[in-house]
Amino acid sequence: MADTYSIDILRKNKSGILTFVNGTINISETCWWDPEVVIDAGTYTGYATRMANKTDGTDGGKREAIWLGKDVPYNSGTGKSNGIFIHKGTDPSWSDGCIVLAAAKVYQVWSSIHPKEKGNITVTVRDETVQRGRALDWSCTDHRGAWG
Amino acid sequence: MILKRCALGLALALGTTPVAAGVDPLDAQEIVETLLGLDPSRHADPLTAMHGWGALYARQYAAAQAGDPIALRTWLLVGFASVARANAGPVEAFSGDLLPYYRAHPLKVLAALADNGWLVPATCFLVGNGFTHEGRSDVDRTAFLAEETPRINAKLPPASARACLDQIAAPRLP
Repeated sequence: MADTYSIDILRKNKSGILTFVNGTINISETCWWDPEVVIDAGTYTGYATRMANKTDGTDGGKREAIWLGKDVPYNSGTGKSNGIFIHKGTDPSWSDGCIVLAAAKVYQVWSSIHPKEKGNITVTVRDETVQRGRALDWSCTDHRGAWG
Repeated sequence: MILKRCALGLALALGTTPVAAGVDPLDAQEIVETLLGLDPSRHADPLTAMHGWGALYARQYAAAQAGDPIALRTWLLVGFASVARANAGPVEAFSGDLLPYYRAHPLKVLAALADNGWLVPATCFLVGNGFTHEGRSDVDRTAFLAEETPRINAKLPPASARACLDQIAAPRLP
């Protein structure tokens, strides 16, 4: 098993794909977030932990989660949060800023990370960039009528 | 001798008179530091601070459920601070816990809000959030509003009541 782990999140329009590979575990799963509190793309140090105030963990304990650490910027840097997690959820209604995905997948990721409560996970959040053709030529924009 | 008797009497009287617990000074300090974007000084590192905020939530929520009115106000303040600092995990906890608490104790919540109008936007946002939190169906929001509108209008000043009802009807981050 690895000493350090990587979680990659590629966000598209309203959902994204979370990818995690560790030994024989290979996860690529749809994830969601709250459109009102969107953490900025970037690289964060994650900790496998539990959420103190949710008691619906897959193993019967408190909810399993990955904490993204202190000062996570959100909404294009308008603020920083100390309470962003990756945890279970089936749509954006499960989130007030966290990233959520199917409970079984979160548990699979969480269970394979050792030790818990250590900053041993690199979480990378990216936004899909779409190139829609090329910029219009100068002659096509300002002088459209010049030839005719 | 008389002085000693008086002191003894006062001590006995204080010891037997029920006194509101008040806000724990370290909890108060942690809330202020969190609101100001400072590292809570009672915790050694960010991970401990994250767990500490969750523990503070749990203590105040449990005491509020047990009927402590100061703990209720402190718990609502923790909600305000969590919303203000986009502390998503605790905000999600409030989204799950506050609506059921309000249903069970509407007059206690409204008394706290009547004395603290600045708590209205965040508190009512969290109450309203509860209707759709974690995939819940939104079916009883309309019935809740129909039942609570007269009570909220009666217990809160007009501007606060309007702001609260707006947030419950259509929650938007304050």
